[in-house]
Amino acid sequence: MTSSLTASACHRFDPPAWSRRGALKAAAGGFGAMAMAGAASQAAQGLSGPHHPARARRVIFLFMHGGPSQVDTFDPKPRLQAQDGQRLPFAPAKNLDPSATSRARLMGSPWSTRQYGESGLWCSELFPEVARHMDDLCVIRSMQSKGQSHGQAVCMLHTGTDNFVRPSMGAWVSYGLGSENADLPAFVSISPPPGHGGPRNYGSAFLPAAHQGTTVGRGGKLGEQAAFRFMEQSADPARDQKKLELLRAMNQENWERTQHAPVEGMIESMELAFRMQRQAPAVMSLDDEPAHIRALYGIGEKTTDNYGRQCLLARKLAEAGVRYIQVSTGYTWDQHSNLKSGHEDNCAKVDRPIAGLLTDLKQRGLLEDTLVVWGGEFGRTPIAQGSNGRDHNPQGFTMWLAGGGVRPGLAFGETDEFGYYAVRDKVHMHDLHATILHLLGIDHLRLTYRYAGRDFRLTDVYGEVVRGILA
Amino acid sequence: MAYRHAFLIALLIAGLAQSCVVSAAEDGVAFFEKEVRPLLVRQCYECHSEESGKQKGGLLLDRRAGWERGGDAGSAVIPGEVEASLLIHSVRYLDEELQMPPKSRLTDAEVAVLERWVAMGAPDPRDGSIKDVRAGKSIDLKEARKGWAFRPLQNESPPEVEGVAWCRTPVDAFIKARLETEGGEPAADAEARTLVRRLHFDLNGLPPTRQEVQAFVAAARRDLDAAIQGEVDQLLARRAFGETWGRHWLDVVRYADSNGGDRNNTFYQAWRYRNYVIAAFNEDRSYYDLVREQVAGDLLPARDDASRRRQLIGATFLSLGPKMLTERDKEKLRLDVADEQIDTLGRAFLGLTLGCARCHDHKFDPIRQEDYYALAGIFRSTQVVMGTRNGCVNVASWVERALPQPEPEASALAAKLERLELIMRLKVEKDFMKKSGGKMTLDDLPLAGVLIDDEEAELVGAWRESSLSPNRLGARYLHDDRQGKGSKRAIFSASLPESGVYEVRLAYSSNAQRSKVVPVTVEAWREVKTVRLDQTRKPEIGGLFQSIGRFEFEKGGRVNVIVETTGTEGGYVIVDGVQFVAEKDLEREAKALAMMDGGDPVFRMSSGDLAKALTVEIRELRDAELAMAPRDAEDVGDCHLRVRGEVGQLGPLVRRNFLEVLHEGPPPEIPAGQSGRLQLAEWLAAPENALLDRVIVNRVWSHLFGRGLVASVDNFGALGTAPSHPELLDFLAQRFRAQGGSIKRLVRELALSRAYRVAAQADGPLVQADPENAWFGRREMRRLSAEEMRDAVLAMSGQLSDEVGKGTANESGDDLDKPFLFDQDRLRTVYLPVARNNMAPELELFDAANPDMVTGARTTTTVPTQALYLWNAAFLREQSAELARLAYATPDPMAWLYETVLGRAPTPAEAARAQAMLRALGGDEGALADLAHVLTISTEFLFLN
Repeated sequence: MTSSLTASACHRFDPPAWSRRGALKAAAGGFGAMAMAGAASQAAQGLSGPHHPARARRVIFLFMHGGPSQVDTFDPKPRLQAQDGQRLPFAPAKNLDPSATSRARLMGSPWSTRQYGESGLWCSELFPEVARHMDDLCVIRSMQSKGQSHGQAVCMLHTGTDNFVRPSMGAWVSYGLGSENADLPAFVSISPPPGHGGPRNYGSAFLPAAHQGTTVGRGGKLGEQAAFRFMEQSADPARDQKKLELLRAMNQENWERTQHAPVEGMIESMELAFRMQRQAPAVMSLDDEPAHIRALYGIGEKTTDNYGRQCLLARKLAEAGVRYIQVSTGYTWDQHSNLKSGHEDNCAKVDRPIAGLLTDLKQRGLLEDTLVVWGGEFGRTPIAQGSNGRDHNPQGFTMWLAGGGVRPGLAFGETDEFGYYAVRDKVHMHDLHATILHLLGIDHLRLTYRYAGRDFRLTDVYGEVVRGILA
Repeated sequence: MAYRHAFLIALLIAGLAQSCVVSAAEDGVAFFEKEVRPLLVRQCYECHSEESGKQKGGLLLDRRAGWERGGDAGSAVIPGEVEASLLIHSVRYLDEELQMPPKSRLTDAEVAVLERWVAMGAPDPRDGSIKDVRAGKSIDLKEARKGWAFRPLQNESPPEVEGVAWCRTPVDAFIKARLETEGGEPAADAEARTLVRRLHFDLNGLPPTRQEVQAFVAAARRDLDAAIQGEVDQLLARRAFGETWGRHWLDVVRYADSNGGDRNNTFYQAWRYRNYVIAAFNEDRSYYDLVREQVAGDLLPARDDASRRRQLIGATFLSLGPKMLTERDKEKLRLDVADEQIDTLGRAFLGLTLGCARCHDHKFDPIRQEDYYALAGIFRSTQVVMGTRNGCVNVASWVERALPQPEPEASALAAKLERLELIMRLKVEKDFMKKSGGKMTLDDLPLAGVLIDDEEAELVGAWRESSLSPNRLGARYLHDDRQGKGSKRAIFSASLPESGVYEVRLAYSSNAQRSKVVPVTVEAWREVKTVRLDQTRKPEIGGLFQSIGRFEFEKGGRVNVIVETTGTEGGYVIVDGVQFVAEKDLEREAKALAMMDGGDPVFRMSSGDLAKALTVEIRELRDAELAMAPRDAEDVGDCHLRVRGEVGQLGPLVRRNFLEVLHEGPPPEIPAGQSGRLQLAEWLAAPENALLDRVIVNRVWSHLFGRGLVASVDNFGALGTAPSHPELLDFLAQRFRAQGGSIKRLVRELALSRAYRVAAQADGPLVQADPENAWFGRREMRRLSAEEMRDAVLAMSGQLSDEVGKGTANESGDDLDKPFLFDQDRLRTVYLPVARNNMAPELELFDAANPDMVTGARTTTTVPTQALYLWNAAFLREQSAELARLAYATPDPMAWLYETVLGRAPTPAEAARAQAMLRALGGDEGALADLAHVLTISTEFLFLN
């Protein structure tokens, strides 16, 4: 079949359909094509670098799947504590089940909260280690998103839409910036969720397939040996070498005979695959890291080992030039009941690894140009569900950023006095997306891809860069 | 609470009105200048003023005329009517969908200023006319109908050409004429062994065997035309034809065996549609019948059971899309499903991106937003999603229909299906109802509706609890003890799942001591009504509930029922609960009440037991004779246009219709109670709709020539590609129509053309002059598809099963989230599960169609993971060993491998090289397997020329 004609003919970053050059680019970009740096003629005219100077070169997204509660972590509400058990003094969100809200009562946080550092940002006792980094964080307390259910909100967070099939944020970044390391993918998703849209959340949709995320692990679990798919160590290198020689000779002859560009692309991509197969294991292996670094992430301790190894892998990938790295917890934050033990467990599992990651990035000078983003698909209601639970709350919740280009020690935006609705300096998920792209040097309005007769972008027709959080 | 809030505001307004009524107009203006104008400038002008150049939502707030006319949602301010003014509504931040200013809430004082201003009658001295920045171009349908895609089929006949000798079929004349005009010379015919490989893959998706290659090469030497004709006829007659060409259609209709979206539930019945498509291509059924069946198979009259069966299965097309099953806003879900259907239907059948017109007129094509909602009315009137899949009220299920079969099985299945739907409904309704503990007499009622027990009421004054009467809702009820008459009040505030008319009922236990004139006030959306209830009379519904009347409520709006004691001296006033039952459920309730008398236990099941029963019923129906077909909804009708596509922003009601650019007459007459799908299907397939023919013949062309006459096969709109040979396109479309929509005849005609035979060219004047190969003077090489690659490997190793696959996904259980690998399967790939969001790597790596989207032309990507797969996958190594085993039994295994895999003998140099490798690797069957592996992953095998 043809390569996508509509797409390639119209999009200025995209190499023209199956030119020889294009084939080579597509091949080189297999694990992170360089839509921007790739100097195909159209691209050169359109954009020869980022739209503006980048403040961050890469993103590490710490995804708390299920939705952590804002009022129990970074957005404490004295009035909520004071009116614990009372009726909600205003209408609950429209689209919640009537069954969950007709008797809605406020529920104060079971945890104490205090201010930390010079900035005096609030953090609850659930995050004792992250609390030490409050002066590094930029806490957005007025997040809003779309989708009352996980499936929609998770897709909204990752792809900018709660119901359509669209490329994921990492795929857009890969498409816009390519990889810094030709032998590694531009977008790696570590242990992404299998459900709630699953691969859609790291998929490329209509962008060239090369931009989809490469996964390691699944459902919040990294597994014993982190490895890319179908990458295996040769059982008999000498034998493989002989086979490879024959394959190369045949391919070379076929190329000379046909002069067909995709054949050459395929040959290039095979060579790249073999290079990757040699190099990736070193990046993926955590065994060579010194003991004190492993300890920093909580590796080797039962509670923190899994997420610790994920975070350490994220740092290694960041160091090696991967553009966009997502680190997902399991689908564990959804505390409709058992808030107390559930959130305590969840926080204990990630607190030290996240703090370790921030420390490690900082000591290596990587935090300067690495944007760390923390958050879930939504927050949780300040009203009780059952006696010890909270429902979904996309109306107002907290996410935080750290590093590349954001103002540290800042609390931005507000929810109402109960922590339910965002009411001041609201930051919609679209705005966050626009801001992340902005920090990477990309204008979200100009990173577009034409598909089915329309120019698409991550932020659809929405999104405003949140200037107030820029350093 | 909502009641109190409204009450306070009413007081406030009353007070204001009193103080303002005497004020002079100038005071109003002064107030505006001092308080309102600065506020508007500060908070609103950024997006709603001429100065900023922005008129978001169509609204200007820098002149009186601006708020008078208002924006897309209507007038922003109604002078004097605080509650009815959208401006006030939006700044109060009570409606999540309309909050202004969008980023930050105004202070309470600022809101009060605006409220006061509106209450004063909105004095506003600012003049200036409305400058409508939105008045842009309007769509000119008349002009649009002249375009190449939209005009009637043109009468075309093959042009005169100089090179008549080159031509074999009428098609060739069109191709040759263009080449002659451009000064291009067609490439020579491809070699016979290349042609036979091309034909076998293009028509059957499989490689020719060694014997087939040899036979064809010999026949071609005698008479090439006859050899091709013989081969084509043979290949068209094989089942592999439908398995290959059916797959092309499955790409277009985004076929999958699971939902994808947010819940990857298994579509247990989807496979029937897949096999229906394959059979349709093999039986060469008329394309027009296929169109009718896919759009309205469930509604078409049927000749017999076999047709009925086929038609129902065909309609699966509409249900196959990915859905957000957990969407809590059921109206949004319904419109999203309709949107997916409209978008798919548009691209698949018409090559039009109709989905673009959901929020506004299409920016490029002659499709107005009204056109979209005219179709949306038809599809909103079609039911696909319903009930609950897993017992959670937030996870919707989908409609399945019983296939015809002999009695008594037919009745038994119908009853089982009906019961499943009943359980789903009961489960949903039970969960919407509030249980407050204690013995729920409500279990005797089939439908819960929305229930509010007295424990949730806001009470004013002293009420006493009682449980004396066993006939009650919940653990207790309240009475006023005949004290403090007129000072007590119980307020029930509800939040209803959707807007609509509800019957409001009050629960009480009756006896002679009760009051006969209990005032009950219902505050509905647009009305407030008080009735006097006689509580000495036994309630009519289940002995517990008495209807107060029917009222219209708005979702998220005011829903209050207030029981008072004024004027009830002498009798007890009882307050036990309030029930809201949607009007559309009342008839069902009556039926269910009758069924309860028949003794079905489901009516008495708890919510938990219902969920268990649901799981059992779904599992039992997994392999039943069902089709995943939709049906017309109970509440069919026209659909409101949605301003900016927002579900909650109603525009005018749009009459159901076909696409006006393609349909000049009046809208269809749709009989009462019908969706209009039947009429739509007939219209789509009718000769009036020439676009249908153009799109399908172009699809067929593209699969044989590597590119469409219209290169953008799914987009015939302005942003698509203009046809390279418009006359040929119309010629083929006309023929196709005249021949009754026969795909096989079309394929045959194209495959027999000289143009189909041309060789690939690496370089030369034709490549230079026509790099895109839009003139079709040469062949463009293509990589084998994912299916071709896997099927070919199995066919060569003798492992390919010739079975027809059935519900292959069903063994995976309720969802298709577990990783797939097709290692152990031997069926043709088309029969293996297509899991949305979770495609088997064999499919996904080599660019199988993404089943979330209409895919008329697959893209070809080249990524290193493909190479890693080819090199490391156990499947290929195992199959290479099988292939080597077959080769080993032949006299010259090495040459046999070349002939089988590449369709040719090795050159002497290749033979020497291969032998050298075999020797170096031990010269045994294992070494042969390594050679087979190398040949199978070589670019020569992977690319077809």
